[in-house]
Amino acid sequence: MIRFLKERLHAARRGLEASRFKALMPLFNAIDGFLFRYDEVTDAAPHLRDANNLKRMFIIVVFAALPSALTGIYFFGWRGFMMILVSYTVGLSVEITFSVIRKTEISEGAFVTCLLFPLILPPDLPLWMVGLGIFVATLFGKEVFGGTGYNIFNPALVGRVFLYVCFPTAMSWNWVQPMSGMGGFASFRGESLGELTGSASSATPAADVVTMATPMAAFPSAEQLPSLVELFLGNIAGSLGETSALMIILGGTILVVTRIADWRIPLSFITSASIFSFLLHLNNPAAFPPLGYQLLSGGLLFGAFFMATDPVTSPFSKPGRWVFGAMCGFLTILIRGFSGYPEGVMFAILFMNLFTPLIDHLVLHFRFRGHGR
Amino acid sequence: MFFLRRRLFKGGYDFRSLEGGDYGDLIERTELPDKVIIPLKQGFSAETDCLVVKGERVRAGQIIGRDDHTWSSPVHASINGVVEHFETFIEGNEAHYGVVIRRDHSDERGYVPLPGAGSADKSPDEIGDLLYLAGVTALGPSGIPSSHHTSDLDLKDVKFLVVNGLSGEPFSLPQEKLLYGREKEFMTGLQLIMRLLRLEDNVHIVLKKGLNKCLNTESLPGGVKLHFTQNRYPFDMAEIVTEIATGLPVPDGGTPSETGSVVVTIQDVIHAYEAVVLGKPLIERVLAVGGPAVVKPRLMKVPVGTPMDWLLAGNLKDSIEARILVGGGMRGEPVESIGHPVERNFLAISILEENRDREFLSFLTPGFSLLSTSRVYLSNFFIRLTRHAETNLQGERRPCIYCSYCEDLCPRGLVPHLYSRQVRYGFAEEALKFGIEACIECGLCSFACPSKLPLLEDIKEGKSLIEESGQWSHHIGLKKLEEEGKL
Repeated sequence: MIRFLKERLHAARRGLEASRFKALMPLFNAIDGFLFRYDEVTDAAPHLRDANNLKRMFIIVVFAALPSALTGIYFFGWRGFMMILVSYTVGLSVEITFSVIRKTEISEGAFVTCLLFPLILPPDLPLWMVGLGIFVATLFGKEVFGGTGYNIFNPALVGRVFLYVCFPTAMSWNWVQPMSGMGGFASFRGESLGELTGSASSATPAADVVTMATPMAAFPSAEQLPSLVELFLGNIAGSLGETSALMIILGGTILVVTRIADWRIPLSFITSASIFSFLLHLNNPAAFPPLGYQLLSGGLLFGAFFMATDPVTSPFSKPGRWVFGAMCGFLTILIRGFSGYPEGVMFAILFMNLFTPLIDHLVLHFRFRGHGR
Repeated sequence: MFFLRRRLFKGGYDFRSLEGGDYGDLIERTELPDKVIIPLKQGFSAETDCLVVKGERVRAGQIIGRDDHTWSSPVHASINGVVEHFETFIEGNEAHYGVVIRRDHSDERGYVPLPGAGSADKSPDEIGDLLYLAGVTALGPSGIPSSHHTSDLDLKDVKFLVVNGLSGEPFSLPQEKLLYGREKEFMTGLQLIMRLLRLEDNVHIVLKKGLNKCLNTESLPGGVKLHFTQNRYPFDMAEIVTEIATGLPVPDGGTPSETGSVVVTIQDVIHAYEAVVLGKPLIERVLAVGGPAVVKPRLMKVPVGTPMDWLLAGNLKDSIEARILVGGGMRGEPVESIGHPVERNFLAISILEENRDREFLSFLTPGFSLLSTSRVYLSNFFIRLTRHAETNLQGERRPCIYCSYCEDLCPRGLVPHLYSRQVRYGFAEEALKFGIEACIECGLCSFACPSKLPLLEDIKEGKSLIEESGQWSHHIGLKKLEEEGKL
């Protein structure tokens, strides 16, 4: 069976190379390379190669984000799955189009961006907005710079900031109450599967769709803060994949243990956010929520583990990573407290992405003082 | 600010439990090959003048190539036989010659002893003469200095002697196995070399961690220091061993001899003992023959000049396309033909498998037997599992994603991906400001790169570009000799 597939693919490659559709080679290569390992061997020293590759690294990021995605679907319904599906469809289309135009290979990075992007969106966002967002994220966040590896900003956050500026209401104030019991696995969105298919019987009551605010947005008015346990489990209103601290920490642990994400960034990010939120809460409790709420609500954990650790847009030097993480944490707390926006993680990370080359340059400058100068 | 400094002695990678890297005990007596090919240029030595003619009878240990005017050490016939013909090897742009000796079956294991040898009680000059005549002075990365022209280091400039007992490179010769039962020989040999180099102290032996019982510390001569270090690749490279032992950094891009260090291996020291005390020239060499493509990894003692096809006969796995390397699995030199002879400075022959198999969904495997420096496969969590080293690229080439795995592994605290980018975009000279010249070309960066970038090739290209522009010179010591026309 597998051998048959291999032979068919080999024959198809020959056919494609000879045909008019030669420009579609990147797409074919991507499918071929996805199914079967590359057959090239080393041609010079070192003769051996590490078994690690980008496919493996990115598939582990996808696995690490899966717990958060599944929790999102559990709390907010199959609609979340639809968002992910739309994101993949549009994002991969852009990636494939650009690869064909540029005649480069399709990069595996798109698979990660397209999964992470819907996880940082409100679960009730119209699907066309999700599509528009991932379009902008892939096109202007990544492709115009040259694709994965050359981008300056985290593509998923570029897409989110675009939506945030264009559709502030949909992005900031429409939050869905999470479901319980069988949860979202048995419903599409708010309404149960029964209602969706037209039958009147409904086990889950329809959720309050529009009036719920996230703990972050609710804080200044402070009417109904959820308990810390709820924040930890994710039984709160919030972005699709950002609510459950437990699942994010689980996924983040996978990333850190496999060394795909450097532990320095989440550690310095969270430590610095803790220190500053503790100090600022002491100083000004009206603007700054207590430590536990700062850490467990909003996108702080998801940002620290999945967004800030993107190797392309964070510094490559170790001291630089400490600085990057610490500054991200500090800026997050500042923006949350003083700006008009309820959430600051996105802006903090994007802002620090901008400084990544500078940080690396300074670190290298100090490390190689006296070399060739 | 300590955290901004370049980190030295960090990095490196422990290639443990590799398939085909588990050598048994040393096989002292193998059969003799029917013919040997003795290249006239072996080890740290220029090509010697041939002293024999076609059809001449030679005995094992007889000097067949010698030139006292160039930087060289004599070469010897390694078996009894008749000179059959001369063979030409092409190495790069140069042609070298080899003497082919067909074995006659007289006096199988004897050898012509060196004149004047027989006891350890010799003066430094006598030791130098004996080691020169035995060909031992051509060993080590830049030879062992003596009163003859044998090394780019002058006898009077020698400050340190470093004995390298590490074997971090995959499928390299486990040096400590040669010590078992031969401690006395090793000690005597060490004292002889110390006397030759007129060293009273500053003698260092570097061994793997955990081999504390390998050498009896009380029987060590005075002035000898033992160092135990992790058996990581590339700590076994002469540049790093010297730095570990002496604490003096080898100048960036330089050789250990520029710090006045003579680097030898445990096997070289035993050769020195055999030459001076037994009068045995360097006609036999212990080789590690291993790698995933051999049936049984072996440590073999074979005559110098043994053709590799004879050595490997019956030990290669069938139906495998093999890549035969002289040296370890990382930096080994691929042999041009399988009939290439064993030279006197060889340590190991690694035979790798050219795996072009296209595995189905390989990136989803649990990876119990995959070799990886990051922790994305399960083999990284169970260190006792045997891991399989391959020449397959293991993935498509992609742009750099700045994961900095290369930086983590670099034993010199450098930033390989930065140099690669600078060289590819045409700013090679810029890389000089970031320490590209300190690279010792171990290749760990290329090995670990998940984007499969040819980092080492880029760095080598960058170095040669910088050298062409005249801003920096690689291997200053060797350059000097070459310019003087002595090598």
